[in-house]
Amino acid sequence: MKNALKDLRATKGWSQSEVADRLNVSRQTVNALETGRYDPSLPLAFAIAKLFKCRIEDIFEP
Amino acid sequence: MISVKQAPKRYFFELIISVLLYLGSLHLREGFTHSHPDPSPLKTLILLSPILPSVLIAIAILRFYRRMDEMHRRQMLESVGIGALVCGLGSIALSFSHSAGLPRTDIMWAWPLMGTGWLLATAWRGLSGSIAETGLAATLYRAAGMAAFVLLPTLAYAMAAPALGWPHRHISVVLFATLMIVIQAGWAIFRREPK
Repeated sequence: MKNALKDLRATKGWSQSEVADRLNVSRQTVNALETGRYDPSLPLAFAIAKLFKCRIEDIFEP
Repeated sequence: MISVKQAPKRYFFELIISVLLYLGSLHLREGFTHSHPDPSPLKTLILLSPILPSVLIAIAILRFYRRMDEMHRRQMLESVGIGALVCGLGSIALSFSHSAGLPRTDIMWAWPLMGTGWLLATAWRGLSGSIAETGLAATLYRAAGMAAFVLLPTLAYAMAAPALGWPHRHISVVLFATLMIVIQAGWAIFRREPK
């Protein structure tokens, strides 16, 4: 699944570690999400959408 | 609630304490067996004493599992599944080898077999993740550094121990290597992560 996580993170000026802390996941998980190696669960996808104040479909696309 | 970031630190302490208790109970068990050859309720209790710290180790692993984030939880489950597969295949192979005339193997080997499969699956997962994140060259460089950190002092210990009169049985060399792995894991867990 493609996603805009890296771009959204860049617009906020956050590091992967900062995003990981805000989502309570590991930095490796943020990296795996950004590179498309891991697709998040629905609760995590909602948490990501809430963090960046977007809708889920604005961040992830199949 | 403990954050995902704090979880490995807690796990490290909980596991170290449980393993030390386990090693202590093994030491107590061995000493007591030699000094008290006759059966008694106390002897039975001491012979069974490693079970309690084994349960503590399992609890430490379960607590860490519950504190992981979802990706690592899934990866750990997959690694445990591969470990169970290795254990199952290994037990079938050992059973056939017994039928073929080789000595019977103790059931105690089931756990090391499963642990080895689990460890190899975790290492493979870690290596492939690291290659995807930092590239093959950087991963190989880091893996070589980690191997050297464990192997070189262990080799030095194995060579120096007989001359210095230190214990140099196979088990002490394995324990020394384990100590180096624990130091390395501790360093990886407690060092400050780059921003």
